[in-house]
Amino acid sequence: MNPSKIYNIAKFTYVENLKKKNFIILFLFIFIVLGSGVLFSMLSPDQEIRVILDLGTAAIEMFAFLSASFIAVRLILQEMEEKTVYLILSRPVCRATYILGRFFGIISVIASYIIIMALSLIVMLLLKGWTFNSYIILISFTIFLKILIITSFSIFLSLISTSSASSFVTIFFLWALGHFAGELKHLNRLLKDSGIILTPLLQFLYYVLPNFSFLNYKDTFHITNAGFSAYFYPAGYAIFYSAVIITLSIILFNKKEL
Amino acid sequence: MKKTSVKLNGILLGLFILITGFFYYNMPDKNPYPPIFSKTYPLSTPISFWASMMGMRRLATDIVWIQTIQYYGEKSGTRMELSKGSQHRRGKIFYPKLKNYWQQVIRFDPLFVNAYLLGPTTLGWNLKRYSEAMEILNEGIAAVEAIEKKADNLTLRDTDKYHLLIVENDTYFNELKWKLYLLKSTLIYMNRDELSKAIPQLEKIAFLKGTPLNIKIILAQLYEQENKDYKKAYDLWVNIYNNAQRESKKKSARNNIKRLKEIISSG
Repeated sequence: MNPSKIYNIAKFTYVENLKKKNFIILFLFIFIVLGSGVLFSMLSPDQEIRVILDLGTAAIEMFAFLSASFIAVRLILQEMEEKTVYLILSRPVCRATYILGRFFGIISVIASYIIIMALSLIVMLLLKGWTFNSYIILISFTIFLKILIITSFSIFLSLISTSSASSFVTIFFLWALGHFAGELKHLNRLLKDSGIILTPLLQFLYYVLPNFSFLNYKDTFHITNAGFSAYFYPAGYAIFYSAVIITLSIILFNKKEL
Repeated sequence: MKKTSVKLNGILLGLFILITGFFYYNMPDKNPYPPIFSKTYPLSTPISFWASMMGMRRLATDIVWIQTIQYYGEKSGTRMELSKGSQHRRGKIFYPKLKNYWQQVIRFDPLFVNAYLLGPTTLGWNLKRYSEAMEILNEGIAAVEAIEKKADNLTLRDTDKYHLLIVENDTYFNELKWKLYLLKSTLIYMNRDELSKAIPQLEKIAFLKGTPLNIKIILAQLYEQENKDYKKAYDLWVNIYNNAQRESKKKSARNNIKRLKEIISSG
């Protein structure tokens, strides 16, 4: 595996996505944030900043999630269907390099989307009289961490699935279940009390699925001290979790007959 | 060569799983929200389900908050007049679902300070439904204490350097609890018609940063009704006028300023 080859594929993926004009989604985001600013100043003037902040961070996350999953699911699946993947793999590029290059390319595209969206939100909030606070950086960072995991899953699914629609539906369920992890724990206790034994299944899901509730700082930032550990542990979890999924994807791709 | 690569991938996979497990184990459960299927405080509405699935509980709180504000009506300045009389008019109860609305807001986000400051005061003072106001406050106090307990457990479980929650939270929880208890005692005094005792309590909260104007409006009414201190009430209405963002509140403040000015000038 050659790092410069990974870099070249990542760069190619980045430029390719810019050419496809996927970034138009950013204009939609800016429109929503501006629109919400006007709307909420009428509906809830006392809580205007809170509402714009919550809506803005939720919109950043949804747009980043949708972009990441659509790009990642379609990219590799389409290349395999159209056989254009041979154009890359027929060169001295191993399959692991290809997967890693694509992965880093997609996440750098989404990272730039998140940065632009977060900056527009900050500008909007500052215009409304908000005092800058570093928690917005922590929120954007943890959104990126979730995207890291979801992108790796999307790549993995695009290797085992034959349709991008089914992959996307699976990714969506994974996203929802990941956020629902905290509730799963409670649900397990409730079911156990009612005599319904689902414990092994729910426990398995709780530990194996990505636990997005741990990374959901946009809901918990107001009681979180944005110190080093607030960045370190979630980052470690997300990076190594996606490393597991990407390694599985590489193993799968190595065995796959193209 | 291929076998070595398979072995290497296997070793890497095992290593990554172990490291992920390490980070997972050390990750604190920071989620302050009670579960949506809670037996004590159930929240099993479609919006709560959706919010939980998407990890957007704060946004859902905001939506319910706006719904509540809309339900209570824009002209809260006019509604204040109700405090002089009964909540009943021709046998009809005003805002019958208001308690449920506020309950939903605080169940979604038990740390939403302004919901406590606005909810129980609209119910207790404006609509004279003290028992419902108390219910909201008691539920809020119980929820905040439960979160505090959870945070304490974290303190016991985790290492020192890892208490990202606690340092800030001690202040946060204490301030929130202090406000809740203060409001509770204020409403108890109001219910017993001991308004002179309620005034100093309200004064402690009213001028804190971020407190809703609603509290100042109640205080201005109390200055006028209970203490007959028109000058103080006038000054407070001027303050309300300067800080109000909503036109209806500005209008109400303007009318009160005009009325009080006449009373003061007539001696």
